[in-house]
Amino acid sequence: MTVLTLDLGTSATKAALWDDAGLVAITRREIATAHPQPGRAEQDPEDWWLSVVDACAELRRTEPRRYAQVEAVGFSAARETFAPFDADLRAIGPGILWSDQRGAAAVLHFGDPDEFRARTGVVLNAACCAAKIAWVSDHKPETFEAARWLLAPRDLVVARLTGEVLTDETLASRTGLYGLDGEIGVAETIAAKLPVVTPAATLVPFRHGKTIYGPDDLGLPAGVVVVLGGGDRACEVLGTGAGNHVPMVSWGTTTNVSVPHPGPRAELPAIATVSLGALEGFVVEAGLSASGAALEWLERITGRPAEVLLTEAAASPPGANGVLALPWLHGARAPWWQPDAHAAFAGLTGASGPGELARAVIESVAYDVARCLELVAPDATELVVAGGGAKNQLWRDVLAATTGRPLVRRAVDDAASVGARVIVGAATGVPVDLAVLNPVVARDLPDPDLAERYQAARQDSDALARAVLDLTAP
Amino acid sequence: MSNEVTVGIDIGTSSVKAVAADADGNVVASSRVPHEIQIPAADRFQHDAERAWRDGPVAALAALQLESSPAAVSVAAMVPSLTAVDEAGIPRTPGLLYGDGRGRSDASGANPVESKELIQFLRWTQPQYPDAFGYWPATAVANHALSGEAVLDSSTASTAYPLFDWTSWDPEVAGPLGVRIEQLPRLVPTAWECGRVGGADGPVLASGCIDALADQIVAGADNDGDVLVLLGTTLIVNSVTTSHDPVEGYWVIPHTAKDKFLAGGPSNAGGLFVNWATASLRDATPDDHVRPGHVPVWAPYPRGERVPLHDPDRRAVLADLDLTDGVVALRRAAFEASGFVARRTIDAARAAHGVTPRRIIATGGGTRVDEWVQALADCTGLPVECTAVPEGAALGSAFLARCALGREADGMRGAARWARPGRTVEPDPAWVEPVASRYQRFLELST
Repeated sequence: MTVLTLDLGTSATKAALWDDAGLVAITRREIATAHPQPGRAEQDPEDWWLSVVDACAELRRTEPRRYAQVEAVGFSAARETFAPFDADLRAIGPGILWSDQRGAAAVLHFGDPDEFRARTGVVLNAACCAAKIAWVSDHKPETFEAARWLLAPRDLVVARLTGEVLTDETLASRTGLYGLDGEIGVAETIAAKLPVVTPAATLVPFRHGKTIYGPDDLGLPAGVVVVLGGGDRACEVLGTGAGNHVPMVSWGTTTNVSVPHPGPRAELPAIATVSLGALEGFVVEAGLSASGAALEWLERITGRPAEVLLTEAAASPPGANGVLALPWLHGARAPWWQPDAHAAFAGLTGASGPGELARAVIESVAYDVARCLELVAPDATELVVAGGGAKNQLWRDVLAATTGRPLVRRAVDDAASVGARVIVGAATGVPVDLAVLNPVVARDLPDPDLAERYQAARQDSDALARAVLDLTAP
Repeated sequence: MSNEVTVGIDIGTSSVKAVAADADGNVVASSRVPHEIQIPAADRFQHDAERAWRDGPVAALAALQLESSPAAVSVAAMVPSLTAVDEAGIPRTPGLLYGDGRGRSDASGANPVESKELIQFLRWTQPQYPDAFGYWPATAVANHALSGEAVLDSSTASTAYPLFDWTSWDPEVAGPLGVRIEQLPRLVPTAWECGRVGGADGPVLASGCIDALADQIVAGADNDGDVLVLLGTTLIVNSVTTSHDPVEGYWVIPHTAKDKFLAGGPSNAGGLFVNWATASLRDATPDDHVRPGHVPVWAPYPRGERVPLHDPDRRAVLADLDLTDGVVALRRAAFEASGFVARRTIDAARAAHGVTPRRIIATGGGTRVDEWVQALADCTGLPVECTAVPEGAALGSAFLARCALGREADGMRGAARWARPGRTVEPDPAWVEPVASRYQRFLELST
């Protein structure tokens, strides 16, 4: 079967073409993010649709024959990002991203944070999707009134393609708007603007006559079926073959430790965020602060290209000549959850340069991963790496050494796209074999000397983290 | 003699500056010859002494391109410094500078007169070049290059205490170091005629003094409430007071103004820090902005700190960073760090001596950097009056050259009439409050 998957990520949309042997081609279209104020992160929702159009157009140009054979379209979806739309699916406000922190005051609408978390699996903070929807209701009442729908990027694209306004369980379970049991937990005024929730492996019917755009707008053949798909994290977990003892560690804009868990809920680790799996069970997640975003920030302030920074980082010895970082440019997230605590560098001398800073960032992210593993997956036997950073040898070396775990790497770094393809298989009744679709290509064992060194240096990182957290302790 | 001109030369950490001034302190020519600070390892801090101390002053004097020969020339320099020279007066070992790890001892952290740093420098340098013709500080190397006379003023020599016992070199101290007295420069008082530059018909060579002293005599910061801030490679902050009570962590030294003292001292958070902290940042564009409430905070100690921490091993911290912090915010953070160090120093003198600061008088090359001066005003909440001539140590030395010629009846104190105020920079009200809260964070990071 020939399948097109669309991964609507935060920084880009990726269109991937699959045949029975695996990935044929993948294209990518960036989506610009604006930061109109500190703590704000916005996108133009029209870019969500246009990025799909452009990524598909390029795929069609490079693989015209296969593209014409596409039988099914699947999705992986950025979570916790939404925008208000009118009944004709036109945006009437900016897209508010997962990283946007404007919900601080609105968290008060949701009662006791512990109870909220126990019910929804979601941490109630300024970045919580439910809190940001409440913010729109509080601060942009006219926009809120005018909105027929509050939709995630993928939900918009599916709605424009099929005329059917839906979202899936993995996405819904990450908003804080629903309990993990599926029960809606917000006021009717908000609930009325939300799409119907269905499983990820849902074949979306076409509501002809209701569509504004259609498959032909993407050059897709008539008769193509659309599979709703799941949230990017749930897709990545499927696409990497992560298991309960093989957590997935993904390095992207942020870094995330994700552990599939069969349940029941009472047995899930209490500390982490919990959402529903795409095909079964739960996904236990520890979402860290900036990782790729921290290196991009270093690129931005130093004017150095990423390759140069990474080369300099690799040239700096383990321990970065005494420079320590806390990569909390988004505020301290897992495993700390103290969003007022921000990033820091320490141990700088006159000889410290950008290479030390970059290496210290990579090492500090790895330390936070190691801390998260102790909380959510202490019995992990190995880790499967995903995200753009999986290609980075330095990150893999440092991660293996700081966690003391072997790393599994699969052929396709775009694990979310693989997961979207797996869900298409489940929905169409033609399951795929992950060993064919995304075979294991490497196992990196921890370097014993490096592991010893990082284990010894961990206490310095712990002490710095404590000191910086104390600066902003409530 | 109204058009008589004298020249002052200042050997600084980053460059040699020369100023030619007339009898009223009007600058008729100035020059700057940069040199490299060598930091071959984290605790090393040195010059190529031949280039910076021997060639630099000669080149700076020539670069003034004066139509007629000046009446006198005088040299000031940073302290302490030391190199070993051969018979031609040419340095053969690294030019060790204040703060270099080879100068460390139990007394580190005390003021230059008591730190024994220069003695530690001798201890390291002597075995490197045991049969040296001389072991000389920068000023003596320069004086020899200019006049053939390796003379050293007693002001600079005081940094060699107890090797210099306030009248002469002490053989009891020199002996154990493997140093003979004749290997040390000839001692003369400050502002003393001690040779001729470039031959018998040349200008008088006048003995000089420590750079900070030359700076302060022409700064015009002579009254209680004045704070003298030197924005140089080293940041030096001193509150003018009438008390010589100790200020914990700081130095209290006599001022050149009558019956006044200076409370404060040097910090590494000067140009050396600021340049390092901004060196890796890309250039700002008109699209780069900074908001008063959104600037990260430095503990600015990549080379340790002098007053009041006295901790050469301390390292720098940069905290409170988030993704929206761009290059302008990071530049601002570096300049604020310098301002916070100034405020901490001023606050200490105020607490110990009850002196209320009213204005800052700023001098040094850093006064040309608008961001730095503004941050200094914002961080201290004080107006900053920049001297019209940033090369204060060179200008002060030119005045000392006049003293050596016998032209100044009041001696050094007459230099006050050479003080020239330049522009004044006021604190920006929009910045004062956010900066005050960052100052608290700076203090937390500096404990």
